[in-house]
Amino acid sequence: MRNLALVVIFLVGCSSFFKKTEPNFSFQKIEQMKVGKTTLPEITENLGKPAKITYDSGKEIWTYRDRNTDYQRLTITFDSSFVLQSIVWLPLPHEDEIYLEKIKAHFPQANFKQIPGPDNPHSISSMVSYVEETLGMIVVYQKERNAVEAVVWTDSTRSPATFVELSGPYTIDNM
Amino acid sequence: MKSSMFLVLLLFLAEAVLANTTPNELLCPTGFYRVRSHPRRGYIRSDGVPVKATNVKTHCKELSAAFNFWKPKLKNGYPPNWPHKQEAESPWTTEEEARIIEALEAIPEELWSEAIKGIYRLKKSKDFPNPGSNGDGLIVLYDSAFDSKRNLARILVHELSHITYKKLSSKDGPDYRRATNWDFETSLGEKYYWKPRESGYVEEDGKISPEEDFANNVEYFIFMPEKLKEKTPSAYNWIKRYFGDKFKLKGGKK
Repeated sequence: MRNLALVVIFLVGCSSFFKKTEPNFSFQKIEQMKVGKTTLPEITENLGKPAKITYDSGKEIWTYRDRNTDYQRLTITFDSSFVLQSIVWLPLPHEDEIYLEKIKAHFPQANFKQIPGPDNPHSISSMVSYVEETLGMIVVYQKERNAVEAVVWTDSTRSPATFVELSGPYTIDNM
Repeated sequence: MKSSMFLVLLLFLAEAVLANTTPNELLCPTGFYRVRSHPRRGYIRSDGVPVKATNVKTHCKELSAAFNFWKPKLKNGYPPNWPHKQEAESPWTTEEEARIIEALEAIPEELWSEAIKGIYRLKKSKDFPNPGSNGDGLIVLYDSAFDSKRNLARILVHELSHITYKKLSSKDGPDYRRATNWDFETSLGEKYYWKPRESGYVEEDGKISPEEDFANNVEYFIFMPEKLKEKTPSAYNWIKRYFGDKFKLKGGKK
């Protein structure tokens, strides 16, 4: 009986040892990653391997998913030197940062400018983006659901005007 | 003998009264509403059956849940804050009102949303021959929606699905996108927010966004389920699970 108990304890110990822990995908953690500085090995060390790797114009794109829901959690693009070029972070439904006010509260000094979402020939977009040029940050917000869809960090040297110009076609979304 | 003479007199009086009543003044009993006489063009019914052109006489029609829900939402005038100012307004005709109520009666109630503030009638889309548009809880139908070769119910299902998508919860939205393989993948300079999956679209314009893809998929689930099952089985399964087994056209074949 005593031996059996020891075996059980041993097996439980082994399963705990080998159990993978969920990487920390919290807004606070991801925010610490720096576009133009953080490197691929640093990301691997912090977050482990991604669920998917794709390539676009010679750039490597890593996508992480939430282990419980399989929802997209984080997508990062590396430049040709494997330095972080952009981050897309998606909140889970229970996280504070699904609310626009909570995100803005993280950056009390920030100056978010609102730009319209992408146009569709027959469906007026209910998405708007809040761009913070200095932080190189875009918050993509769904008005009808009152929910943040994604937060994007990218090269801060480009202006929001450039973003609108490059990301068209847009229409003035005054709805 | 006396009673039969009374009956004849009563019939004579009734005929005299009816003869002096023009059809459009027909009074309908409780639980019914009046449809005024109108010429009706040929059209495709929600179940795909072609209906011939005719002159519809004034008649009473039984009030339906669809009539009670949708009639107050059929709005004349220009939709508030509509951004496409080049699109001119056009008033609803009796024919169109009758057609739209008939079409909405066939559409599953899962797509009837209180979030819809109004269905408006404009003349021609800036993207002609586009039959309908939507935004901010508004639906707009253009002349082309009433073309004889179009199925109005199908157009409405598509537009209503756009509004349903925008209202999907913060759990259901990501769940649909995960099931149908849409990832958010953008950075400055990119032309899209969502990276379209490589293949498996019932309509090419589904690549525009997960919302457009959703509207197409719901439309096909209801009107051409076999094609959706073949092209995008993941969407077919998700829609079936989300809306349930009763999510189909009412009173007609699929």
